[in-house]
Amino acid sequence: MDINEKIIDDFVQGRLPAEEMQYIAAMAEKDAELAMAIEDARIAMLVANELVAEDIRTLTEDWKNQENFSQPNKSISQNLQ
Amino acid sequence: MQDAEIVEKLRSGSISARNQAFHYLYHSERLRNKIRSILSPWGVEHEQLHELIQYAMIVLDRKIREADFTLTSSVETYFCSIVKNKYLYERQDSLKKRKIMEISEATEVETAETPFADLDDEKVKTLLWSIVEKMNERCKALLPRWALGTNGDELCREFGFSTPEQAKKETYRCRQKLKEYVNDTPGLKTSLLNLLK
Repeated sequence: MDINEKIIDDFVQGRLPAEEMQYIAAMAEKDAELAMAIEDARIAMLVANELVAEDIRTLTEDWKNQENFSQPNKSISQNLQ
Repeated sequence: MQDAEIVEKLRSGSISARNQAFHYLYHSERLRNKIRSILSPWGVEHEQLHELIQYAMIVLDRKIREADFTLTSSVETYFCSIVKNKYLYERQDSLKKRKIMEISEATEVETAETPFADLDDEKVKTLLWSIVEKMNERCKALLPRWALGTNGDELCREFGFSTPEQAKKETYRCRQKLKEYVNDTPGLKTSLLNLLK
């Protein structure tokens, strides 16, 4: 089996059949270069997922601001008090 | 929106489909009422409700994208469980911190470092953002698309690539730069690998 970058990415995301997952995990124990490539992909995924989370935060902050903006009367009356 | 549709949209890798699912979850009055009802013994302010929903959306999205994850309840029930657990964890954490402060005030013990604060969400975020800040805007936009598995055609439309192959190459370059930065910064790789354990 040729373990290329696409396969490593799929492995890191758990998108391979169980048998192939086990095979690559076993190979990584013997092959330091493969183990390092897997570590690098896992770290990239960790950082990428934080950026995905940040996109969700931005999206929801926008919606929250729109909600606040769509209720101006409430804030105006509160301000007048 | 049906559960299967929410799951499909979140897994799709398409930004517009994902945003539709998030829009539904964020604006669902039924879901908000359910959360308010679950948290009613303690009460929840509007700002806190927003933060809890935001947090639950991030966790739900991450879980649903995990290949081996199976949703064993409805999306709503799962979402509410995330909210409740987070709320109770924060409440417990703040009570713990208050208790430690009371003890330290009484005994004058240094309390800046507490074992339970080591893997605090904010610390993880700070570590990850120390890396993100070194990336250019293009990589900051491309890397999450890679994690989501956004298809090449959508990347071409969004980023102006002429072929999906170009998108792959640029994403690869971003990952290479990230790898170099992590490997060249003493102790950073070890800290990141500790987070993955």
